[in-house]
Amino acid sequence: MASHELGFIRKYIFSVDHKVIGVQYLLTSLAFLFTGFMLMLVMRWQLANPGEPVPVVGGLLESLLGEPASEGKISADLYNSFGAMHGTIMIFMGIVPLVFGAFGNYLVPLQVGANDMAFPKLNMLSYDSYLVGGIIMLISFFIPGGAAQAGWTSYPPLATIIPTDGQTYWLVAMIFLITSSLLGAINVIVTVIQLRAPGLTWMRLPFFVWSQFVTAFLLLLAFPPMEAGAVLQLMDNVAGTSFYMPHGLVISGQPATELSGGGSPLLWQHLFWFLGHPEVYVLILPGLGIVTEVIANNTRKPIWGYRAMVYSVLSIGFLSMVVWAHHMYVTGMGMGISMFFQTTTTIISIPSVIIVTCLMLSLWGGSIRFNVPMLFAVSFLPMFGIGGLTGLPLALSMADLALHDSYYIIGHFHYVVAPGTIFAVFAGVYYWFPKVTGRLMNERLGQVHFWGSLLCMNLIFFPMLAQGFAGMGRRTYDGGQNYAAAHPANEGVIGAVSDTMMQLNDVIAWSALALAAFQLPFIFNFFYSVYAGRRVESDNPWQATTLEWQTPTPPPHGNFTQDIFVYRGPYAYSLNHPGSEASVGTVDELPDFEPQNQPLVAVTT
Amino acid sequence: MSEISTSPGALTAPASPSVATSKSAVISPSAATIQKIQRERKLYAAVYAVLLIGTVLTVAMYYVHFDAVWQMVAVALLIAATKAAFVVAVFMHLWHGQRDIYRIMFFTSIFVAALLGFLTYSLFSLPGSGHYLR
Amino acid sequence: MKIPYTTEIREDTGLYNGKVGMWLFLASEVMLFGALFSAYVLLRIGAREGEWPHGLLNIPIGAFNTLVLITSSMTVAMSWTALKMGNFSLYRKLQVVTLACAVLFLGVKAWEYSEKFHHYEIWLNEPLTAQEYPQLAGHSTDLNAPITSIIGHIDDAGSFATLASLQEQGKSTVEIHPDEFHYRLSAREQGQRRKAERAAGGAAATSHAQAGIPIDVSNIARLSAFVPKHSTFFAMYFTLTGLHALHVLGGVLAFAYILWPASKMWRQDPERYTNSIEVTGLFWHFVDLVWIFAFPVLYLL
Repeated sequence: MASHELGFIRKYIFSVDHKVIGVQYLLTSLAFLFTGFMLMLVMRWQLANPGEPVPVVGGLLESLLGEPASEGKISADLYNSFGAMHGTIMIFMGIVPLVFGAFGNYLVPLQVGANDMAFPKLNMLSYDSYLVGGIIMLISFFIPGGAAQAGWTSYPPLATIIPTDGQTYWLVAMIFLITSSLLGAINVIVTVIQLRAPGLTWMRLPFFVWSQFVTAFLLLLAFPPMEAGAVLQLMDNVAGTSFYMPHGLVISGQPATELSGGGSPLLWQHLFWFLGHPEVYVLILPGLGIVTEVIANNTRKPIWGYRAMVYSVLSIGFLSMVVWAHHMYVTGMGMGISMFFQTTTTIISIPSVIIVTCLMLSLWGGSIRFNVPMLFAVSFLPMFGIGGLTGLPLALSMADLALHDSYYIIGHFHYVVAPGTIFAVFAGVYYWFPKVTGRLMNERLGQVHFWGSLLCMNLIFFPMLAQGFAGMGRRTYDGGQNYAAAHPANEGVIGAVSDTMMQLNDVIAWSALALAAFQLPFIFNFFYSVYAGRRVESDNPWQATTLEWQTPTPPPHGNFTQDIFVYRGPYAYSLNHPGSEASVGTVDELPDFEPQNQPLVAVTT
Repeated sequence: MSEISTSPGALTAPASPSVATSKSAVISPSAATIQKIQRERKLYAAVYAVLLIGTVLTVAMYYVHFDAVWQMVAVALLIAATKAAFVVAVFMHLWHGQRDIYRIMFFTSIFVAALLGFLTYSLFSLPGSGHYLR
Repeated sequence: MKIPYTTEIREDTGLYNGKVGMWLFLASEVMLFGALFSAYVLLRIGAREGEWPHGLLNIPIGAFNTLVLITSSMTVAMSWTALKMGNFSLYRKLQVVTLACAVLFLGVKAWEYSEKFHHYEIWLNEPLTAQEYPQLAGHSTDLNAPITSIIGHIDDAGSFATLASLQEQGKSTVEIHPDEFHYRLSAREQGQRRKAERAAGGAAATSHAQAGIPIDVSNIARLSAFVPKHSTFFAMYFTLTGLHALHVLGGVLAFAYILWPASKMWRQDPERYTNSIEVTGLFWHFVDLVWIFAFPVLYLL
């Protein structure tokens, strides 16, 4: 029914096909991820060698950004903008669109057996809105004064009193990005509720769909308060209101007489972190979903404790909405409220641990295929484990007082997101690449990519945990040199950061550079394999059970060529391994798995 | 392997979508529908009356003297909540049991309540604030 | 390619796609406005004693707008029943009333805004007393108490004037015609004063054209029209009602689109057309709902 005579623009630029939109999301967000990574490389150079001109790209930075990068050196203002934009780009323009926009869009309709998203035009609008937001965010680098400088958290009053327009651009861009997420979330939820194929009951949904479903709810309900907060901050910036400006504010020695005062910086922190914490789970849940699919497929076993995982992911979804103020222990909001949030925060670690434990136990006794997606998926588990465990001290308000705003925090959440979510993303890219393109990615280059990344990620983030314990604060543009024992002003000062800790900055910088180098095989592999990768022999090269593999490769507009009817749960693997009753006499003839839509009669023949 | 259901229990899921309505140019309601809609209309008129009365009460409340501010706040919000309940139940058809929507709105209201509650509480615990309601 | 359940109802959920989508959108809207109301509550509770303005908004006009919006909500609900009955002309009449109500609401709102923009408050360095200026009797319960700020109209200041813009006009004194009552007086105190004045037989002080008070520019600590930056109250008022007005505008555009350009769908797929009115109606009732809360919270409390 669909017209296949659509022109290039209708087919690839303004497409309403969820798969094309998914690929658009994938390419755009990978580009943003790369941009954010480059910002981080420059920042790490600055931290390791404060005040020295940046090699290679210094001249480029100066010609692009002008005065803040004069002589190719990174000024404090520029470092602040890079820091703010690294966080913003990575989280809102990189990972969320990647795991939710790209993977969610491409896979959810396929895995539920639908022929598209419930609202294809809204889906297109969602991508367009994301693109517009992203472009506004990038433009802000080139306006006078540069991009936003107040960190990705944009705490007022600082965010408002910085006399440049970067913050206004940031807020406007955020409103576009939020709109995009809301549209995407509505689409995913309606698709899962309404468009599940006949027979696909809730407990037969692949875990990936569950994770996307919960993620969509988090985006839907957590983003609007932050949007309200952004509107209020926009009013503060543009209309001169005082939503976040307290009484008696003194800016650079001058009382702010033009402001009415009467606002509360605490208000922003509440509204921001009401999004901010569920956002953490938006980053990690789809990652868990991807890893689950890859592990089930490559262990050739049903996922251990599927039901427990589903209930866990639902509890995480619920609890993550009531833990936000654990980011605010040091605001002085009072013991009572800290106690509540400390309790919920420690409780939420339980379902997270259940999921990881289930995945660990799924490995037990499996005949594991260690292909590249599986390598990434398996290494995700301990990496996410470190990220999660290092979070526990931060959940306790007393321990948090010491660790707050130190490099320990940076190490902690990067362990969750970088070798956590990003490894899951890599696993997903290698795993579903054959479905999207009909070709496999190169295995050897993938191995190089994996081992290099694993080593470098740990060399980057583990030292940060140590630095944080030693008391090195985040967001210092000179890498903590002012607080270093070697600094003349700090002679004999107890608590000054030791030279060893300072030298770790060099380790981190070189490891970051090496990490960049190890991404080159991936980038090459990705584009090379699209055109010249090994062709897959069947539509189901991994012998997987879920519905996305029951389509032609690549799937056409409208997805399925046959009517889909689902007969069983998502992980019907290990059906006739030696020793099981079903396998007697038929080991060689039958495959060890059954696709979800394979009619039941096939079992008995 | 209890996770994997091999029973054909879910075969009763809806059959492939069929267009329930004819493509005729007009809707010709059945007698039962007409009766139902007429009941619905009466209900709408009744809710409209309730909303009008509620508005009058809200304004009237402003001219009544209350001993403490919190009493006035409570009364005003009670009236508003009653009006809202009627709008949601009748005008927005939530009256006609819709389980999935109940669930969505139930959790949404929990989260809104959490937001409102903790924002308020976090300020109350700071010294010197909250005199307005006391 | 046809997406299932766009018009027909899915059996196990009892819903069609558009309805689920709209309710999800409304859930996010509940969070949005819930956050704004929470912010309002936090700012109000955190305000210093006597700082929060009240009584500055026009209650009869606000109540009128409430009635207008409630009426439009009712006509939307009725117009859906008209479509259900297959009565397109009744539907059209009702929707024209809806649109008229919505436009009336926006017009009244715009007028209300413009009224605020040329109303001023001046905060003084050196306080005045009602003893010196009898026009200020409504600004304080005690004739000898220092009055630190005056609200009223300023001669030929127009709208949106600031202290800087007045100084640019070369003014060294600003003449302000004080309002009858200052917001620091509670409604109860205002009532008592009115009664006392009536008992004393003095009507002069309550006349609306109060004599102006010249204020030297050097005595002005801050001057602001009733615009968002005047105070957190007005900031919240304009943000909340402005956002609400944007929603009303969105609803107007949606209804107008369905009523006129998209009406040919009624002949092709009447069920779907009826659904589109139900879904847009859901949005409209929500907008009405926000106002039901915003009116008492902003105007009365």
